[in-house]
Amino acid sequence: MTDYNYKDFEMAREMPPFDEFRNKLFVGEKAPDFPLEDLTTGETVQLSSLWKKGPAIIEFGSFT
Amino acid sequence: MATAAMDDLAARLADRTVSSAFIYTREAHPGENYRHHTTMDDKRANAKAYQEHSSVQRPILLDTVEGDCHQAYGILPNMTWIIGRGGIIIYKGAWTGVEDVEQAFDAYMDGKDRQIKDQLVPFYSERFSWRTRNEEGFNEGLVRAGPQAVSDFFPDKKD
Repeated sequence: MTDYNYKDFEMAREMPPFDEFRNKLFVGEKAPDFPLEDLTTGETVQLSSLWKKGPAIIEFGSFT
Repeated sequence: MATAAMDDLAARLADRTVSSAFIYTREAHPGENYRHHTTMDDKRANAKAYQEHSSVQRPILLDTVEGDCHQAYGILPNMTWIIGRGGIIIYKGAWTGVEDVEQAFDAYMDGKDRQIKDQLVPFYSERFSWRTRNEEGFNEGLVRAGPQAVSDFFPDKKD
């Protein structure tokens, strides 16, 4: 288990890890694909299935 | 988060064969009521709570507990990405600004539509964007998560 799921938010530690965002993937590159679980159906879907027939808009987030 | 506005955008674009989804990540501000995830069941439970509370209309897709997808895409708490048909990244926003997402999408599609007729070629650019900050909603979210979430974010605040 890594510290990805931190138990408590600490500003200096968690925000803002912008280098991870800025320097990893670039516009014009191929988007990486991952298996994800559909919350409603419980089925595993490939992220790439979203952009198979047309563009995809993908938001990341959580309740908190 | 701009859940309702992003849902509206997804609905407006659905007839243009645009898919929209919400990828559920780690908890950004875990608290006593919505704790950090140690299992997929934790993640499912919090995602369902978010779904019921926000009435989000887009499909919610759960990342792994360790956030493999989230980490690959840059690990920020409320990013939005636009991926073109076939898988090329055409937009990455460090935060979700609905107007910015819509403008980026419309500009991309407008260029695609006029590409041949107007001899357009794409180029890479970066810019500074703006979003509305819903401070009241953010603070309500901290309270909802639990006292720990509030004190973590406002360590100097005294009751």
